[in-house]
Amino acid sequence: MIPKGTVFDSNEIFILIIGALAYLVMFLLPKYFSKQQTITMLLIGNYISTFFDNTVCINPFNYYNINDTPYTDFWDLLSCVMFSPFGYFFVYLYAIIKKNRTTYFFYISMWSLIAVVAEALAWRVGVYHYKNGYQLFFSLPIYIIVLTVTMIYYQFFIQKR
Amino acid sequence: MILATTLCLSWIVINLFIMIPKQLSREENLFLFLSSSITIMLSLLIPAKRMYFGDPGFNYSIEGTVAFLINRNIIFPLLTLISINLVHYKSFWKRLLIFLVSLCTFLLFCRLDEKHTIVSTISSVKLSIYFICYFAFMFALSKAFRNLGEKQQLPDK
Repeated sequence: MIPKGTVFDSNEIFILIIGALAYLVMFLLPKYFSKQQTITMLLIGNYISTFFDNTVCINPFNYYNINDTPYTDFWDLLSCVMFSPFGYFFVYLYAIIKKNRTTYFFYISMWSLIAVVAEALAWRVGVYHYKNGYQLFFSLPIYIIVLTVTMIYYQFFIQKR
Repeated sequence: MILATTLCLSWIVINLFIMIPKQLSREENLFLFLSSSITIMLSLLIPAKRMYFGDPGFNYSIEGTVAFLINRNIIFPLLTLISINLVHYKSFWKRLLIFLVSLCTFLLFCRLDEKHTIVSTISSVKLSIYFICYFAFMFALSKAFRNLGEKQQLPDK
């Protein structure tokens, strides 16, 4: 199961533990959305992760490698699947909290900071290997944009319904 | 040049999608868009490996890379959405016609702009088989997603 060039160490353990925990929490939480909405939210998380791994990681950008190999392997795909529930948590928590006109701004800011801290942790254990001058805080605007798009999904597809 | 052409093409495809009569709901369209884009990105990784590995002598400009990304993330998924929306007609002949036109569009697009779609050369037969499987997979996904929504509505009623 372990592809050639991969050593089973901290980054693989990190992916397995965080992924398993995230899916476990997702299944234990009281159901708030329909099955279609839940699947779409999981896909949004997966899409964002796959999109950036297939954009920022390729030439001429080539800003980081994921896991042990420079090409897409089984663990890279698993790390994309690991990210899926976080899109769900983002929408879930926003749907259940009390909101006013400014809530979305602080909510997105808070989640962006959490995402940067989580990425720092992932970088520390070797999930990400930055290259060509890429630095951790460059990811902050990406998270802000991505979370704003997810918020637009919530506004148009869940709240309006 | 390539970026300008791709942007114009994406504008045409987006407007075509807006204009066609939709057989799928908004949720189904979004689901299919995401699924299609992920499938294209992952399934066409191998032919595009020269790009991912940074093969010497195979350098892309930034414009070329952006065109490649637009093709994979906007044009292909939207063409799929257009096909799947239209293929939900009840008449068999209409379905067949739409399927054949979609297949020809995909193949022609990959042949005309090979460098920014599939990157490496793939034989027409292999490419046709790939797109038939891809189209069948997308159609099955859309059916499964619709059934999921209908099943959940039944107990509610």
